[in-house]
Amino acid sequence: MELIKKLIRAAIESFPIDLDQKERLLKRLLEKTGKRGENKS
Amino acid sequence: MNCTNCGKKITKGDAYCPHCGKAVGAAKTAVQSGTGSSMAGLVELARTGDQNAVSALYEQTYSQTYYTVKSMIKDEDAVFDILQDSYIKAFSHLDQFSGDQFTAWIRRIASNTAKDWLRKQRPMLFSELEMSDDSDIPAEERFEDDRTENLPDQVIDQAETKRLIREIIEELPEDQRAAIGMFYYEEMSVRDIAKAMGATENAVKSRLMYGRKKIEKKVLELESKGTKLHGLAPIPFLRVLFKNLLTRCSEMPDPGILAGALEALTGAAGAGAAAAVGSAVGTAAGAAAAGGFSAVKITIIAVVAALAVGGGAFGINKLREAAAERRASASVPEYSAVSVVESSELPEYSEAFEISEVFEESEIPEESEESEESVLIEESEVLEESEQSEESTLPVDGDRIVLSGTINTYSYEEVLELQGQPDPNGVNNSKGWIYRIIILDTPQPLQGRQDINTVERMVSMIIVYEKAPSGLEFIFTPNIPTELDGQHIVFSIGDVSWSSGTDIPMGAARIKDIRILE
Repeated sequence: MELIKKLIRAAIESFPIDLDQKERLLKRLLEKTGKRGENKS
Repeated sequence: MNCTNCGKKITKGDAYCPHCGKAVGAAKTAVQSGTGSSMAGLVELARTGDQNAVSALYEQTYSQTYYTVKSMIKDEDAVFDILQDSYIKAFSHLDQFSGDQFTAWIRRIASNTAKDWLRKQRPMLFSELEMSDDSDIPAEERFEDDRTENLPDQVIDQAETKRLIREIIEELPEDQRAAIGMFYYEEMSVRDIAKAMGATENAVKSRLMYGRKKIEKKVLELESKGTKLHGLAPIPFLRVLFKNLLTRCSEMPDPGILAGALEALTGAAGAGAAAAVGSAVGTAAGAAAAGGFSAVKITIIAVVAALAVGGGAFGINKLREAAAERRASASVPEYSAVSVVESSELPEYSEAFEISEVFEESEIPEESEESEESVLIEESEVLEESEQSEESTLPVDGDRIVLSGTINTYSYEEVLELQGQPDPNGVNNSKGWIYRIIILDTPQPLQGRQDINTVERMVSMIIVYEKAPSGLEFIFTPNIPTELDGQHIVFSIGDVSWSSGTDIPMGAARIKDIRILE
């Protein structure tokens, strides 16, 4: 159990993160949350 | 400008370094100052609309949240949509979050959103049925290697190993991939995965087994092509790993298991049968004390005899745990007929030897208590689940019973694993046999044909073919192409006959007339 779990965990956590996508998502998030906040940038 | 943490080049105005993910500039100040020094502090700031805090929380949780979703879903667009929904959902309901486990909270939301997505991809066909108490221990955990001390971390950490497994995971069909990810990465129970995917627990176990076998097959393929990886050799390691996984289930049956079954029977058979059961137990216990397979066999017979006397309901619910798809790795039997015996010609055994006489339909398990933070998401899940249940339907084929399930070929050891019981005939009698079986999505009450045995049983499996090492074959259902192995099928059935109580898979139905509909 532990063996295969570690293998799969390591494999999944080696998936490359698309930084453009990550950045895009943050912008959308800030757009959404910024509407109700008082500290808009 | 450069990141103050890792020194790599970043764009001016970035709140976080795209390379190391750590806060820079104002965000770093927010994280390091006052209440911003912890997740809880950042959440407090985020609640006021502080965008640096929102960014900080996002940056600090993104990787883990991404992997949570990615472990379950292959499609990158879907992953992006789910992440977006999850983060917006989370930050729109920050008032519902308490405590300091923000990462766990957002991961939970993302996981639930991913499950919603998965359910929409494959609507639930049947309502979920409760498993026996033993099912709390997933079959996967019962058979897998737990020798963590033998784990060569260097091998797992090796980039080539990660790449290899990652690519194999990427090649898995969506449903198997989701099951693998939820089980091994999210560490969800089979029951929870089944609920999340709108599938039966059998189906989930099937997907787990299939996924594992697929990984094994790919490893072997790579090896046969002469793939050599640098440094430590992950392929031999993986071969040993998966070989261990597959052979664990063929260990000698433990008479203690049967003693437990007898105890359970004593409680279920009722007062009228208690004396007979006691007698049977005594006989069996004496035989078991002598050791060996004969003791096991005698114990089984004692159980059955007691059943016949008491007439009590004794469901071998382990049968419901049956599930495995092994299309890719299975050795499809060659139908070189040596001897064909149709179902109607098979000898029928005495009722006293029928083990799976009556199954009690279990109640749907109660929801486990969920944390306050997850209430919002769970409610939507429950709603969708019920909606889908109403929508789902099977095609009609006249007045024939229509069922669905997955057909595949299994080794003797795998059948023992599936049925969760030792072979009543003893391992030496049937070792080396292979079996072609349809695992039903949902156990189904079926009645035997009028001229043979009209008893009704709850059926988890339909056996269509079996073959002995000698080449002796039994084709119970002659018209199912071998190409269907590993496929989910919808089919209608004709007359049903029963295997004897000592035939494995125990309790399986034999149906000569099966019409594939989908």
